[in-house]
Amino acid sequence: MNNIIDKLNNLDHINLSLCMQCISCTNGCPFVHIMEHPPHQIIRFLQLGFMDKALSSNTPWICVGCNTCSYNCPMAIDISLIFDVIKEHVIKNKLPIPEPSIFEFHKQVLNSIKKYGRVHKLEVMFNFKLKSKDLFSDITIGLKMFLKKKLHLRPPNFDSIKQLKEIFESIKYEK
Amino acid sequence: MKNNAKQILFFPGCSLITSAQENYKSLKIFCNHLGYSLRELDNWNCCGTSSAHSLNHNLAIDLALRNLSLVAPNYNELLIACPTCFIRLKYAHFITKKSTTRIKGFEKKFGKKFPLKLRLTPFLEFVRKNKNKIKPSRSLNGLIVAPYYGCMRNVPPLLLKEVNLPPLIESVIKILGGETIIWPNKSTCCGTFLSAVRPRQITKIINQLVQNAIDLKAQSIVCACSMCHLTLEMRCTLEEKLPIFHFSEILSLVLGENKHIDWFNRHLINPIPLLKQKGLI
Ligand code: SF4
Ligand code: SF4
Repeated sequence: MNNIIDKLNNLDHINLSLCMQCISCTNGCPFVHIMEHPPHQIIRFLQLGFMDKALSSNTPWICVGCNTCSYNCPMAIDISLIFDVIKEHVIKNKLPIPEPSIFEFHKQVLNSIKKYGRVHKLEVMFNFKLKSKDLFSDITIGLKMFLKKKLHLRPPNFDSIKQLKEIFESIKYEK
Repeated sequence: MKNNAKQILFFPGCSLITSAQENYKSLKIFCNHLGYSLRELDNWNCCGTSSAHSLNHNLAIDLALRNLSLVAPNYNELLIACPTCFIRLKYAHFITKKSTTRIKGFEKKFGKKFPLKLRLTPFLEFVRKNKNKIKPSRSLNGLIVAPYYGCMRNVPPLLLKEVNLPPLIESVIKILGGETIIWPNKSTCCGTFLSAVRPRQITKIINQLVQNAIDLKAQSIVCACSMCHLTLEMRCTLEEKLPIFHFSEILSLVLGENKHIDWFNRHLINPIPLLKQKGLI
């Protein structure tokens, strides 16, 4: 399982040993309160070799990639990229997904891009809610958006589905 | 529109053609006013948003690169409205530019030359460059605005030297006769996909953010990202809400065009009473 460190070392602008645990990243993260571990702690796990802890934490999955952490980081460590590498590693190695609903949401978005070239928002939301068995939680606001023509029934126009399918097929991302 | 309008190639992204059509329409009017006509990149695809790079690095890069492969060689600039699309495309362009292997890969995959010299221009940068050409025909009449950038100014480390998104909303609002507040949330991320997956938590964050703006006497929030705009409108559950504007709507409003009613009717939080009170419509 150590090859995640190899993977990180292969990204030439990532150097985990630069992290001095100053916590500036965590101080900036707007979603730290719904993470199992604050961002700096995941970096520490990687430094100390606690791979299973880093790979089973929900933190990289909650991360939205807003880059507030790395913008604050005095060592300019690309934390959200490190979290992307962790997620990709978890998926490729078929490890348990700490946040199945977030994984499901991303898959729905990618399915939509593969199918239509662009995101079909209504379908993504519908499929996601269906899978999460939670069709009704946003029904009022959803309806309002539909009436205001912010959500559309018709899929987006796009003519290069074949090329896009090839891109998806050349890269296997699914679990 | 002026007859000798300069054509500018434009990447709208998924939000501007669906949930944020008002952003697209007002942006077009604004660009026309500056003497540009927008030409949408033919057959563009989604930049991959947060989902592609979350699950697969190379897929995210390829989705962005396909868009770059569509730019005809006679164009040297691509204007990008959405800050997320901008960062995805810029990131892909930058790491490809830096590696001959990646450039070769691009040329093989898309059968086109890599547009090495292509300039990717985010909307705020475009406004900054053209600031002197804005000729407002009316004033914002002292409208008090909370400027909201969300995460767009947090450039990833690799691009720090490449991108500098100016904090421009403040100075432009001032030129247009409005006022801005200083508040703690101008760069608080809106939560993007967490708004769908963790609506309750995001509601809490958004309510706090809007409440802070209200406490500091703001009458509206202006944002330069259509995803932020939607999240703020969707997730605010306060009794007293603030109207949320796209920056482009405000820019077009003061030009005296009368097409704005179409856009304002699309808002989930009705801005019309405020605009009437301020004598803006
Ligand atoms: S801000 Fe940077 S150096 Fe400080 S703890 Fe976070 S990652 Fe480490
Ligand atoms: S990129 Fe992720 S970890 Fe960093 S501040 Fe944003 S949500 Fe938090």
